[in-house]
Amino acid sequence: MNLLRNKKGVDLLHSTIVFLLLNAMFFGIMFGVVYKAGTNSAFYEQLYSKQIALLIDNSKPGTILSINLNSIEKTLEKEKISPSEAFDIKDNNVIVKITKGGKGYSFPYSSNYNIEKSLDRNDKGELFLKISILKK
Amino acid sequence: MISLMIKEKRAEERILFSFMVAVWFLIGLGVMLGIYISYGDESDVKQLQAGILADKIAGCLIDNSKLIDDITKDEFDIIDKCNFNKEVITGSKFYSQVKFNYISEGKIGDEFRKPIIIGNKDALTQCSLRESNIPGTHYFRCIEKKYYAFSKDDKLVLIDIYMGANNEGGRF
Repeated sequence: MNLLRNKKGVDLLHSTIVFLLLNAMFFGIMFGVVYKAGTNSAFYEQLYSKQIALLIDNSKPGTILSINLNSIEKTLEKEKISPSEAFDIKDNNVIVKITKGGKGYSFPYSSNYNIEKSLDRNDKGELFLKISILKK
Repeated sequence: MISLMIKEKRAEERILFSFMVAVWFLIGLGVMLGIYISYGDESDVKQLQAGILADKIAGCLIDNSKLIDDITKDEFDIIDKCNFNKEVITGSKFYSQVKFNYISEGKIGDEFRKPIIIGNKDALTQCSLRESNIPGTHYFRCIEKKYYAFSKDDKLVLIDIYMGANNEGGRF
């Protein structure tokens, strides 16, 4: 308390608080950036989006694609995003978004098919995205 | 002047603080650069997609080693036959050129029918620039694939498909 009565003491306290706040901010931002990069969410968004688009282009009507979502299931749970919400196939684009607030990754395909998607778990409990390719 | 300032404790603190901010900035920049180098690279699937589409075109033109009957018709629509989305395949991101020639005595002979060309013709220039090693990451990637099939009258036909793709995804 004596420190606060003294002008020099108040200055010292202010500069220490500013210093600590800046430190906390810096390390907080660094932690956030490294954590986000560590989850590989951007990589998986791009991977799934391109993979699904190329698979659609390479398929004939009547094909059912089954894609294992094991590698991103935990990230989806953490981000509280449902798997059906994470994959959007519309206007000839495959959009994959596995982080809340992120833009997601979009990749176009060239085929003119009707696409239906559903989710399925196998006997081992692994989550699969099922994409049915139907003729328009 | 600086030596006088450093003698004063508060001036010394200010200089140290600026150094600390500069060090933070450098550390931050280093971490960001590391992450960008490790994770920032886009995987280029243009050539893969061009190959897939060339196979798809061949797959819808050939049935059981024979060219489909419709192919000789003038009104033959490859976009409809191969289930392509017209807007996408004729847009700026794709180019395809399909040539048909008879094969006689192991040599390329007369044209079976006139070539089918759809999409962005810039692909030809951009792919030749790429082949000449002129730098540019946003150029088309092209692939040429050859297929063989028999015509209705059992003559061997070479189907030469030159396919270009410049399909880049992104965060929109």
